[in-house]
Amino acid sequence: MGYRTLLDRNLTRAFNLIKDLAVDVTLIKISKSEFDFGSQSATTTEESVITKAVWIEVDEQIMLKSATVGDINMYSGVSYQGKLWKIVEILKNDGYIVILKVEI
Amino acid sequence: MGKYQDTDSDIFSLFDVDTWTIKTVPSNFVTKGLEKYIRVNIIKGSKGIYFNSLSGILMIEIFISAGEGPKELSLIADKLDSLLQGKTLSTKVGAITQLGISAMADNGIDKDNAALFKATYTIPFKYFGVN
Repeated sequence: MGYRTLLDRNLTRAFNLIKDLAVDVTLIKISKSEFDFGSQSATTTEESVITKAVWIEVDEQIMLKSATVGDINMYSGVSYQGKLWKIVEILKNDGYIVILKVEI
Repeated sequence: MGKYQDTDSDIFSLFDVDTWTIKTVPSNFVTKGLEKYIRVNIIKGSKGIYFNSLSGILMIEIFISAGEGPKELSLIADKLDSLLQGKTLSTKVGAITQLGISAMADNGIDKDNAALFKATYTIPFKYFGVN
């Protein structure tokens, strides 16, 4: 087993060990956006991805596993318990862990 | 409509044709995931010669793949020239928007997406409304 697989497995294990500190959040991904120059209106199509995440700072910073989200630049927001946070900055993305700065 | 909305309608109408195939978005539009596109910014800059007129600059940001040289930038700029340069537009009876002569400047790698190279194409315009 390579080091990358080993790290990913241990990260999954770590997220399991912290039990309910890792919560299910929904990442909002903008999959398609179009602008009609005739009517001057925008239409966007959104997809959602449910993944485990840990709140590092409540309502401010959230940590995710990179392997479950892919390209984090494609996401615009995080939904949790009926509230939606906008992703304002990617604080860390080392290929294993992503830490996002979010705000309501 | 007023002079600001009239200007938008006149200029945007040029991009609302089937023959314009380059991905085009306006300012204040989500562009995540786009690989090659242009962004149209209409800067309504200064007052015109009478109450219902104005002068401004149509600033178009051109984004292409980084590392592939300037050829595609020039290709897109030439297409923009064909579409815009010297045109007189009117989507409202009695009001016109006149576009002038273009210029372009390289801006280097896009600060928001290092995979893209950016240039800025500009063209001045004047709007004359109905009093």
